[in-house]
Amino acid sequence: MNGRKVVAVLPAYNEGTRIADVVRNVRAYVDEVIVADDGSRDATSENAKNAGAIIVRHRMNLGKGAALQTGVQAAIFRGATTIVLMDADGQHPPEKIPELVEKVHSGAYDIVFAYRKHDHEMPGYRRFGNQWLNFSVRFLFGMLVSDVWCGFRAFRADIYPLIQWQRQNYSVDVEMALRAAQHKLRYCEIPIPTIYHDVYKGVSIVDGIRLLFNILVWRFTL
Amino acid sequence: MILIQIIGIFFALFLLYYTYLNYKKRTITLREFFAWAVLWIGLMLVTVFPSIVNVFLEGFGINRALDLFVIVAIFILLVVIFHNYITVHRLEIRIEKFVRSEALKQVKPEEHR
Repeated sequence: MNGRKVVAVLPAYNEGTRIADVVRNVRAYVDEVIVADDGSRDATSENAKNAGAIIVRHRMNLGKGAALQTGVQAAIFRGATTIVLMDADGQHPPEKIPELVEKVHSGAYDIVFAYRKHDHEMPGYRRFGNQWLNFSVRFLFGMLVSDVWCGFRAFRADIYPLIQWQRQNYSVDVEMALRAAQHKLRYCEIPIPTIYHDVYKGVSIVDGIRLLFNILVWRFTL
Repeated sequence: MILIQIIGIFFALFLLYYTYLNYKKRTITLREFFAWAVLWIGLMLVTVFPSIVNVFLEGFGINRALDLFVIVAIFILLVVIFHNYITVHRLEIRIEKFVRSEALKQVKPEEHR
């Protein structure tokens, strides 16, 4: 043991069919896996627990941002020094965790973002939407990130108070990045392959438009 | 009495009754019941005797009683919307904190490694 403890936090909502495999795969690369079950109505918690995860369960669905907040607080309570955030649906390759963590442990970066290559695995409208979001973040905040909406990232636990987000929903990933920029935290990016299981799941075009509006508001309020 | 006045009276009476029902169900307090009742009775008075607002018209530089009514109604609606927004937001924060604290009770501290 080198005094470091890497904990992965997976916010999950109705991921009963996939969560066990995801937890087992992630466990190979971290010290602990915490699944923040956001009020699932299926067997997400049971399956994750049987696969070896620590469970924090919301009694009701609050949103991804709220689940991440609960999961990260649980991770810090458990003594995490490095926290890895990733989706619970298997869209983020766990084999990339060591690369993310290594960058954080190098001491050169406070937070490391993964970015999905804009290949044809990603639906066209999402590629277009992502590019608009990235452009807005660059233009308004001067932050050079390739995929600000990708939720796969790692950071030192002690920077959590600086990036602590307010949003309860999917815009948490963007808010977290913007707060990192606001506090001039050191960041870098690593590429990951794009994997899409459910095109219908997650965010809609309306969410994207709302997020663009939020970015504009954050420019004046963060 | 013209038709719009009759509709206005029935509308105010219905709201007065609805407010009373909510007071009986203890959804609102006696003080809240009286506050709302004053508003609905005032609405009825203005509907039956529109001339009582004439005294305000000149002071505000408004020509018609209807214009004054619409302006006041919009002000009241804006206040109610803002109050509802604040209330809902405060409830959201309380619910989130409660749900989180309940969830975090499930986590045990790290055992000595």
